[in-house]
Amino acid sequence: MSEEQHIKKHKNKIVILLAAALAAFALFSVTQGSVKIPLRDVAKIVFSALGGDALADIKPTHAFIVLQVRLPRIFLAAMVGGVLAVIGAAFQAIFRNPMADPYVMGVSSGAAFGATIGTILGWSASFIGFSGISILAFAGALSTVAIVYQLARVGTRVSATGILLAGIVMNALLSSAISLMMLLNHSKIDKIVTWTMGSFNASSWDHVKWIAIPALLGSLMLLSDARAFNALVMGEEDAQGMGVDVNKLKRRTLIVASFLAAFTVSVSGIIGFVGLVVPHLLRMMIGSDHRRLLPVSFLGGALLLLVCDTMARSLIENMEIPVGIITALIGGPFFLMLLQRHKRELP
Amino acid sequence: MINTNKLVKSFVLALILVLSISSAAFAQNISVNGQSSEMTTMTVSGRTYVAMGDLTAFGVNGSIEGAAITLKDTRHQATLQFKAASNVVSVNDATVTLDAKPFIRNGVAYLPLKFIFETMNYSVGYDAATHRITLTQNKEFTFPVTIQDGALSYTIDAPVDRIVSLAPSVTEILFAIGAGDTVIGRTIYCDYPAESASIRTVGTMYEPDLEGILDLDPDAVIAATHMNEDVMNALSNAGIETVTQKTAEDIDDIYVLIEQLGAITGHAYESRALVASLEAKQDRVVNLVSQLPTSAKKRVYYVVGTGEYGEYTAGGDTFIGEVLEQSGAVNVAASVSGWNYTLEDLLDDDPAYIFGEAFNLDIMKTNSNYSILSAVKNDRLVEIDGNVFSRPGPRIIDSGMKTVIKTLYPQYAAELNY
Amino acid sequence: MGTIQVESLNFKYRVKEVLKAIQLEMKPGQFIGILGPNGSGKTTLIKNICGVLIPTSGRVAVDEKTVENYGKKNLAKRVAVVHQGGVADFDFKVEEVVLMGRYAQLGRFQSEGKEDYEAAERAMKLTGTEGLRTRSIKAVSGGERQRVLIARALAQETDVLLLDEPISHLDIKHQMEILALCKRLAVDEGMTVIASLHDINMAARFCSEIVLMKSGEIVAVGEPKTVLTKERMRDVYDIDVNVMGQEVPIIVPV
Repeated sequence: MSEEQHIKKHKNKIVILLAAALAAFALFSVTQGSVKIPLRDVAKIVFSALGGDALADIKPTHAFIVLQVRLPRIFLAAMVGGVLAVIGAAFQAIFRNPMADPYVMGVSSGAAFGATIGTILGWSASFIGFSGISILAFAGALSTVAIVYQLARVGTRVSATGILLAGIVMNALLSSAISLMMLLNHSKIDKIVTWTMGSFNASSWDHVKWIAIPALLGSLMLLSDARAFNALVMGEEDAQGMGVDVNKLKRRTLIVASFLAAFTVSVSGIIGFVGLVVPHLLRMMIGSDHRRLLPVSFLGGALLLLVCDTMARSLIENMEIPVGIITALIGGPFFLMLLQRHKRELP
Repeated sequence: MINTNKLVKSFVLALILVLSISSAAFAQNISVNGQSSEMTTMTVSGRTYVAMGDLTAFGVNGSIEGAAITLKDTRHQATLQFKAASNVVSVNDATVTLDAKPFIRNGVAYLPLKFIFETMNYSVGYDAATHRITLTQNKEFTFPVTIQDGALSYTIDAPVDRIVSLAPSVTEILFAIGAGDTVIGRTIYCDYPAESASIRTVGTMYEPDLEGILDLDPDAVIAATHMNEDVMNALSNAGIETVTQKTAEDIDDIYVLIEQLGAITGHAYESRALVASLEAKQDRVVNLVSQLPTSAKKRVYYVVGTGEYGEYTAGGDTFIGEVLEQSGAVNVAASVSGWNYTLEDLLDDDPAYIFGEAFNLDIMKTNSNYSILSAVKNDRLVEIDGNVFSRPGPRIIDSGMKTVIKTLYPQYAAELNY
Repeated sequence: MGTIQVESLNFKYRVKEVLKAIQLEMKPGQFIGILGPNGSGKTTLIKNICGVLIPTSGRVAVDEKTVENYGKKNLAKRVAVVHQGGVADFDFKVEEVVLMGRYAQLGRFQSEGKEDYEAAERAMKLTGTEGLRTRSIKAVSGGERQRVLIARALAQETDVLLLDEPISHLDIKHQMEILALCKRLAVDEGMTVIASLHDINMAARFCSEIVLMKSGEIVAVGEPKTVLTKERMRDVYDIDVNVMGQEVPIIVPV
């Protein structure tokens, strides 16, 4: 039992380490940005927002930048990163394939399709703080998921292969449709491409508010199935033998995770790699027990995306780099390195 | 009492006359190609006018019929048709508008000197030492014409009269210099002037329809630099002259482009008239705002893109940036090069006015991130016609600068009556 | 507890009849070996018994209640099953795998308690896998893995244990270990143990009952020595054999 306890301790250490790193980096991130605001001022601004003294000697725009631009952006990036990693882990479990990612159900191309239509129409309507583009992206993502699900469904059963195949076909179909629309609307290409590369520019507390509830509820729902995921990755029939209602579990997870993916993609655009790399990497470190893997993935995903977004907004002066580019640039090689190392360990 | 009243009235009238025609006609010594020459000139609200009769020495015969003033430039076989108290001038087939109106006084027609001579291919200068206007004749354009675009150079042997235009600004310029009838193909974005609607489209500037272009059998295809290279090569192989033009980086580039297009279409005369009229307008705007103390200049941000796409603006080294600065605006993004910007910098700059197209302004109005901006709070979001500002053509000088002045310094708007 | 009744079971896969009129009764304390050539319906029968497949007609009852009428979790408290294959690319410690057997006993957010650890401990002891507990399931040998999966099934604390070809791909030592374990579970623990098997002699040696199948039908049921005759081997497997041995028949192909 002592070895068991040792392992548990080790695993708890990772949770604490990740949480501490996330908090520390979030603090650091508040001080970063294209406008240089002294550390002392940032501290004063944050302190005053928490109910401290008024800000007599601080420029109101600086307070606004810290409180209304940086903080919601940090929250949103962390939350989206966390959710992407959790749904990545959940999809990997129900497909029993560690290469599945949050966009397997066609969420990304569906969202991009919706966003492209929105961009071309120049639809500037907005709803509860979300732009028309976000709303169309959300609608596009959900409809695509629904279509993929219908295509892959046989009665009440959904097959993993069916989903993967339908997802690939829908992806290809929508990508061509997007390309065609871009070709016909060349002046909007920049915008469409920028959107698809993902960005947290112009995040506000409205976004945080409306994403936080589904994100946390959804993540909790997935977490409540953690033990079922464990059983499921041992084999669908085995899981059923252990008492898991496999079909219901798959259906529930597909719906919840796709909803979450659609939510994230509508606020941030398409951000690759986080949902694939984070659960994969953490699984190598702490094993596959989803009761641990899911919460740890949330922390890991939050940290990774926060780091990437902070780089996105401070790496080049006076310019934003789409965060999706950074996640891929960092995530890709890191992932390859891990695979390489992992390969050597294999017999 | 009545007498005094009359006296006051006539005095006021006299005063108005003096103010409106601030100087009387007088003979002025002007240097023409280094030779001294006498001309009758008048200066009205900052513009020097030359009497029509003095143009005979330059091969220009003038005639007056009512308000109509017709000049025949025998050296260039060109006709200019003015109308007194109107700023519209016909230069052969082209129509340009002037910042100053010609007038007829005591039976003598007075015409804007700089415009006339620049159109006639003279450089008009001012010798500060001798207080004299200088006129220097330039070399005439003759074919073959060589056009330089960066490292590329093109030689055009004869005027081209079947052109496929692959950029909206090119189409606008060709029409403005009276070469609209040479445009036989255009992109789907070429929507100005309205007459261009009837011209056949050949796709977009990036992905033009090769077969469509070949089918039109043009003498030349004129495109922006970032044209699809494969299409360009295919056109060259088909023996079609393809001229690329780098996107203008400043106002001078626009003038160069206009004159080059004039040269290759045989409309050099009209293109000079257009450039002369635009330069005069630009000059007037610059003079107006030069009266402003630096502290009175308004800080402006120009939105190219905003919201979730990221912030894009016109930096200090763009032609839009130059137009803003010349119109007396302080471009808050002047320090950046190109088009990238950040939300934080924008918030920190807190410009007094924001110029942009409606859909971008709508994003700023609805997204809470921009709520702290003074321009948003004070409703100083200025909706502009993106096609006017984003195309390096005549309209950004003509109406673009005027829009900026009217918005920022309405007290001067009356002085821009074109 | 642990009685299984299969009553007039027919199973069609699309239009193909895979099982025809199966009639069986299995009781606690029995170790039943299902024998038959490839495609005779062994695996399909096991999947019908554990509820993965639903009979086209007829029924399977566990303790007199039809399998479909149990909830998934309740069934898992009665019947444990180890299918072929299983274990994908995912890494678990052996102990974690065994503890998964407690799924049906726990609520959504409940973590394992003392009872669950004890059940897992017992299962590991019975299968001799205590020494492997911290090893990765991906790193143990085939025989060890099979025992771990059986331990997981045992941790469910059911009366019935179903095994689909538990000894294929194992060497003879491990085959003997697994089957001896099954026999012990039936005899000592009073479980109903049902395994589909390929090796006739191994089945004859360890099983208390043999179900001999051919083309989806049961040819014979009973003790090994009554079922495994020369004639039936000829009929079912289409080979000529000599039957040797006294208590335990030994089948030797001619």
